[in-house]
Amino acid sequence: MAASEQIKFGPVDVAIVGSGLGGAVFARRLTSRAPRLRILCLERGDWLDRSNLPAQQPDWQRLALGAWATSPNLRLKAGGNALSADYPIDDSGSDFKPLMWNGVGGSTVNWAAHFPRLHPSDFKTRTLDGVGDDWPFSYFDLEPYYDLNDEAFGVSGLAGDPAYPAKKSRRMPPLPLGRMGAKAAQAFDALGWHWWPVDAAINTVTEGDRAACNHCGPCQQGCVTGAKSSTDLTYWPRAIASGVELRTRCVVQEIVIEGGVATGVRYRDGAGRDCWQPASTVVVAGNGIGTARLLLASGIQSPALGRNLMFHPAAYVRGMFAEELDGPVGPVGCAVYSHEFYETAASRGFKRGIHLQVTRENPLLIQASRLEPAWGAEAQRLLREEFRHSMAVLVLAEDLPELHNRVTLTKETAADGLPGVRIEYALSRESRRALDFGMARAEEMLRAAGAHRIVRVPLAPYTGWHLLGTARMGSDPATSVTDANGCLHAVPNVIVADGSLFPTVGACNPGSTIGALALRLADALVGASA
Amino acid sequence: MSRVLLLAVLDTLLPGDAGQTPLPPASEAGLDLGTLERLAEPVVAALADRDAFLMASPADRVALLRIVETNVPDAFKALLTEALATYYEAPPVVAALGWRTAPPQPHGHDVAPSDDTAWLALDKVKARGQLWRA
Repeated sequence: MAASEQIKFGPVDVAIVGSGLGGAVFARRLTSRAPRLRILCLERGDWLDRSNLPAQQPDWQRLALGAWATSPNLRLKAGGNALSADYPIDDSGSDFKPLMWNGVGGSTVNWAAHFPRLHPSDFKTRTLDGVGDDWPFSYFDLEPYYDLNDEAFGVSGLAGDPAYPAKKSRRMPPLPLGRMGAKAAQAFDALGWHWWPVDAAINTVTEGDRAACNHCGPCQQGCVTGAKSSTDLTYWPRAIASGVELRTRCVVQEIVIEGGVATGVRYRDGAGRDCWQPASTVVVAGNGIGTARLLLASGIQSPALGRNLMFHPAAYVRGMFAEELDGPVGPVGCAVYSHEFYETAASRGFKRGIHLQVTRENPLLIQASRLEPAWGAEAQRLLREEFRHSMAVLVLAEDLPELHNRVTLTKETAADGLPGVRIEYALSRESRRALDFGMARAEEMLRAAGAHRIVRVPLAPYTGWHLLGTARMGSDPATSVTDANGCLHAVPNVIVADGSLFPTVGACNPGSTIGALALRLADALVGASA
Repeated sequence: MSRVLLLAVLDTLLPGDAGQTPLPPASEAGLDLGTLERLAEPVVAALADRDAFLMASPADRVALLRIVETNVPDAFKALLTEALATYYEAPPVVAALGWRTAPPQPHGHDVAPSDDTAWLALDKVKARGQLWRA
């Protein structure tokens, strides 16, 4: 066969681009609701090999800073990771650096599996607070899908949190607070503030062949035991057993559109061959950067496409304690959070709110690598003071949609065959005020817990997990990219099924909502086809 | 580059301490010096006077390396990154900081289980009633 000859596959009903959270959930739900549909997922990366993950290696900390870093750019700089088909992202114009995994399971492979829901108010910020935009549906419309998604992922936690409408009992008890979490809980309690143990998509009891978490620590380099849920362990085995085909190492180059209708996708397979896959419907779930990149590269015309990029701006406040704590062990996204300041209060000088989360601490090398000064006797003195004696509070704010925060294509062609991609993001004054307010509250809590020294990190660049908003839902094609069912206004048989759809983002992790949303979108497609 | 000079540079970056479980200086931590030697070349080359560096007091060596850090920041950062990784993965260093030298798996770590007392404290939170806005 000549190298230039295109390989042509038989048609499918639905071709899904990306096997991460949105793609996996969509595929599984669709095949369960419409088993006769021919469903194919094209994934640019490969399956995770759990037998050889960093947590089993002596140099696991070095790997976490290099080939297994959470940033694709850092992985590429370290020579790349064979399982994550990364592409460079020009993030020089962005205050936050994008983090992701480009293999089967997407970023659920290296996420922290912190699993909060959005609040009801997050779905109507325009109505309640006069900022952002309302979602085209409410929390309560999505609630049944949250429940379904919780069940599929398996959530450990505790029901009864008054910061939320009542949730069903969590399937597993919460992850232990440990000494650090217990100390934080006591401080929140002493201040009279809300606190609650986190919902986590992490097993606290063994289920099937997935063990209970043994608190090893480096969740973000892949979970060795499978205690941490990721879609390669949850949704995909069921979807594949139901007949969905998952093709790995397939980099979609273009959604082919003829007369305003998508006819399929052109992709490059693992051998570098040009392939043509006809499809009646194309679903794109490549995260807020990858999805916008592919849609733009496919010539989709939509004024809001690629714009309104949101991250959840993040800051840290770290407290040092005389007594020994257990910060560097346990799942990184644990153990407790406070939504005392999540809802808008006019007195604070900004709209919307913040999420405070007491997270586990960094391992030794990473703590040592982030000190100031970075070397010399003072650095080592600080490390002595900090290591196993610190507590970190993550402050997440709600960033609002702004047109100038965006994903664009560059003029270069990247090694994966697609146009290069650039992101621009500038922290707004409103977000800065929210982070400053949050840092002050975090410091207040840490002081109440007994911290004798506080270090503030006013902006934490390598927290860009949440890639949201670049193909937002709405009813007006001038200001939104898709309708409420994720269908592009410009090409209705192309559906977006990831966090790109979020019109606004709340102030907490989006994974749970992306999953619930993808379930709803799949049902909408089934309903439309019925 | 002489081994003495390399170790002097590394000991300036990572001098160790005299704590209850002393942190060894880099030169006594049993580090594999291969990659460090290569990365140190441009840093050492940027020293104005190598002999003066060797003769200098620890405090003066710090001052001299600060000048190098300013003059060749990329090379200095590359050396420092590798030095930190090599040093803080070295078993004597990890042990001196009271940490386990074995990787996190397969054994994981113990985290004290939460007892009912912790969850009972949540009654106060629950008693506040609905905190979310409709």
